[in-house]
Amino acid sequence: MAILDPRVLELIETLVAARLDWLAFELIEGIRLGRLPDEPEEALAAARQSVRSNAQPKARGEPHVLLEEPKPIPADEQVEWAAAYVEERLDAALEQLQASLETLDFIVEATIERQDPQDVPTQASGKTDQDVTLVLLDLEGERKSSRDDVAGARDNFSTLHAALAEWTTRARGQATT
Amino acid sequence: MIPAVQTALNTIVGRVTTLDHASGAGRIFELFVMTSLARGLRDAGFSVWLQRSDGTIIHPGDADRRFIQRGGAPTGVSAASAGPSNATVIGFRWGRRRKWEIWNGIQFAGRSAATHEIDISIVPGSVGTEIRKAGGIPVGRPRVAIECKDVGTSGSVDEMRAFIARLYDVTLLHAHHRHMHFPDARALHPGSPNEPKHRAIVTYWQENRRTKNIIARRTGFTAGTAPLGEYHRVEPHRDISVGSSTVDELVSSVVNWAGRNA
Repeated sequence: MAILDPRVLELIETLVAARLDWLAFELIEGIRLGRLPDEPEEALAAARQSVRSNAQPKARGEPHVLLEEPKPIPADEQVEWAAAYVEERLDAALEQLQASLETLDFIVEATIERQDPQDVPTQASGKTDQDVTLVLLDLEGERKSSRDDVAGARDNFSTLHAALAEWTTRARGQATT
Repeated sequence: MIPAVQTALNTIVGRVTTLDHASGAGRIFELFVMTSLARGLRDAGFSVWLQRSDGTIIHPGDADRRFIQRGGAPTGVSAASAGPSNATVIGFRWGRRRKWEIWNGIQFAGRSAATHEIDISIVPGSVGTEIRKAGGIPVGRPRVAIECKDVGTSGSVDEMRAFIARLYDVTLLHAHHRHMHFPDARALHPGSPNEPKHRAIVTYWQENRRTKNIIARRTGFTAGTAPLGEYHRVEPHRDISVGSSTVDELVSSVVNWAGRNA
């Protein structure tokens, strides 16, 4: 059974205070699950290839029992694992958002005025310098993110990296219990 | 609390508020996959456009250039009469052929009457046009279904099993229509074209083969998932990240499907 290193709680509290509860839950879940053996890329590639072929899948009928158990993340590795997880997770999300907004701008700029005679005309207001803004909508309202916002957030990433590195060094020097 | 980490996080989340939403990062990953598909289709020669929830297209000169994703509880398609402030879709077509739509986070109803959110789905444009007349939940199976997972842990056999179960519930075979109220036996209602490739088919195997079904993950899959996916015709794609060759393979798979079917 996985045991949560109490030093990680400090980071979890910080995530919650920064309104990143979902990331705190992911950290706890990641430690709870431990490290599972991965399916090799060769097996995944073979599966993709088989799916794209027209071959009828054959019932194998012989159960393949997986004997490998998940390996818990050792307590003395959890601090570094957690810091790396937070940094990588946010960095990936910002990188994906930046790429997405660039593609959305590209698509809009390449859109011709009327795709089809049946298309509903819109009130075009002439050329604008405005980029596409992502809006996440729910009952609480709208959360807007533009390319400038993403660039601003990414500019601050080195500060996050340094702060996490400093915490990792400090936490490593503390006793685990 | 770690004050320096909190200050840095506050600055990042303050700039990109999408990140403080419970499903914000997940929606960003879905948007990344969705826009990568759109870019791939465009590069392959398809016309591609962004379409507001009222059916209007976003043009270069428009002041309203919002791309709206829904972040709350999963839902169906909004009525066009509700205006342009609901979920945006991406449209595409080859030449003067039929239009298609790429949807994000829409629920589909299955034979059991349960509803299932499909992270990214591709449906005929006529289905979108028909359902936007009054809004609602489509019944049946999208022609392309992509489950997106951006969490750091590897995808389990349970995750694959859950996706397959969803696909089976939304599959409408010809025989199922004996017990359903639809006037014609189609794979997806309402609005599917009256063409052989959109009519309900006889076996699950045929429906699995003529649709495209994918799990796209930011990380990997645990051992044992590949045989399960392969048998039920679900392509497992791992390590989906910006600029990677794995994205290219995922996009190529869908673009090839579109080239044959759209």
